[in-house]
Amino acid sequence: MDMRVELRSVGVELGGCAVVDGVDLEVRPGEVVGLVGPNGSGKTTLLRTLYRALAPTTGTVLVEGHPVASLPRRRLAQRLGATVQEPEQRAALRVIDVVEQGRVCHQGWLEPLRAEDRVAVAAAIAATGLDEFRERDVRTLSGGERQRVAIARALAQQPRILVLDEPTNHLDLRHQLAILDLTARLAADGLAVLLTLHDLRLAVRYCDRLAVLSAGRLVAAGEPTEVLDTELLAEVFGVRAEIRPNADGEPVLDVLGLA
Amino acid sequence: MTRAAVRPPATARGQDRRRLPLPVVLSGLSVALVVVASVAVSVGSVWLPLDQVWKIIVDHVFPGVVQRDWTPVRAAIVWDSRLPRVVMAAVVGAALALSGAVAQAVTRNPLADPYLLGVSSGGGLALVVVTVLGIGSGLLGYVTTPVAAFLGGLAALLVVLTIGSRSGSVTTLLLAGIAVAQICSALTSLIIFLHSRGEAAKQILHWLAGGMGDARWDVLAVPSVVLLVTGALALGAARWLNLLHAGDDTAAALGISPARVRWYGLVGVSLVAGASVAVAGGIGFVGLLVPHAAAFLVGSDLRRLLPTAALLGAVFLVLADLLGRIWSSAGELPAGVVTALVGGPAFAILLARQGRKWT
Repeated sequence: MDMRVELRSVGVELGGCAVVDGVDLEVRPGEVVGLVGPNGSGKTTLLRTLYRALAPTTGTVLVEGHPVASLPRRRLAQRLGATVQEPEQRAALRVIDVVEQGRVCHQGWLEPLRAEDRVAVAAAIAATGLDEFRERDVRTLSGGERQRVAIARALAQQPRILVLDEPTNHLDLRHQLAILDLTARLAADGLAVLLTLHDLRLAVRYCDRLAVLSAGRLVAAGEPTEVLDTELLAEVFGVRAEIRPNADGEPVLDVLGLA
Repeated sequence: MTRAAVRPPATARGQDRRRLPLPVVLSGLSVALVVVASVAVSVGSVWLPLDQVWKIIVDHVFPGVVQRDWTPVRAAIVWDSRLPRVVMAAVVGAALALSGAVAQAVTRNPLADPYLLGVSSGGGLALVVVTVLGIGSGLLGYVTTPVAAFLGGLAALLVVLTIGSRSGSVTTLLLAGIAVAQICSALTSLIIFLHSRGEAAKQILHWLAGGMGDARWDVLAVPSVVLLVTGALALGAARWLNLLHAGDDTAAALGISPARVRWYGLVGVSLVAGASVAVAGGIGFVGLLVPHAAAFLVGSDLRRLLPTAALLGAVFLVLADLLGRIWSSAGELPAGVVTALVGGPAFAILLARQGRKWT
């Protein structure tokens, strides 16, 4: 099966310190892969190598079989859309202006917005439930609304891979579920989704596979129920927790306290 | 347990202020520029009626179209003295506002401005060096002065950004700008003190005052061409410059190299600011304040902001120069003094109102 994203022994050194060390990871079309790990385990650093905000010190990052380093940035952005942890919007721009930025990688120099661009922007805005915010100044939005605007901009790129860094940050519970439902739907349509999540209960519920980072190393990868055993939860996350089936027989993570 | 009725969230809260359509803003500013410029040409030690001003201009562009009913002296006042001065104020104002808007976008710093970032003083120092070396005047001067101002400005800008971007704070950047500007002006004074005599000294002192007093048609060619070319390129790249607003990581994810776009932007800033410094000296606050006023009118999208800021800057500096000329009967006040008198307090108000967000 063709891989959308392939990390081959990727290592990143920042200031002489190995932040990410020898990570191998694959994301296939149609799956949601959750990257989990405690604070400072290197999740964001690893994601930054995917959209070329950072070049890995060792190893290779492949996007649809192409090494990211040799792919023109525009071509990369046409294939892979990403959001950062704290989307920044200090400029006086409307929501629609920001989402239209997702089309820049599809537009030629001086080329105006085409019909297909408008369709992509409208679809991204509808998918993230931002219709009524279209004309709003992004600086007047709440943190959660900005997060959705950032996701809409990434969707407007019409990527085949979506990389989301803490997409549920700042969102209230309803919008957390809405975003994760959306990623599940997008994956069902064939998108490959890689996201980081702090809430392991949501990770169990929404991710097809989990990759666990600890101190920059990949310590486990696989289906959530296999990966998150009591021992790993205690060792990596420092919590006493276990996965149990709920009344419907679905696996649910039960957090009991500190380990 | 108590429980209050749950209200649906108010989605209309904080509805964005309606913005004027861009064509309305641009045509309004163009009309304002023509009006202000006409008044500026007609006002001075000799007051000329507006219709005569226009007739003289039309007669120069399309000879024979209008009946000549004015004295040659009046024609000379309009065409050789006042009009080049007004056009120069417009070009320099547009150039400074444009470079300020681009500088603010690429440094993601609302206080960036060719003056505060040391571009003006770096360009000034280079100009003085060129003048003292004796290659700053005559036919050679048309090329050497703008090139020197550009290179000096770019060098100062790079030093400021190297020092200032290390901590990433606005305060450090501003302090680095002040430090570099101080060093440049100290060196400028030193060179004047040690080397310049006669004509060179006069030329430098004239330049240091900063203003439009030097305006002639031939001096205007280089800055006008630089403004038009760089302005068109900046407008063409506005879509990419816009992405820098979102931060470097997001810009990379959207398909551009933030470092490359920033570098091109800074070269453009130095070019435009250098060209205007070469002809008009250091004029402060236009590049800082005009983009903010323009953003208030049309928002931060550079495709809208750049043309608006350029026109607004032109209007502002033509007005400032006009004010300087009619301020006192004793002599004229350089435009740089007027922009500082207006801009200083406005800058202080801006800092007091929003400064906390910027540190």
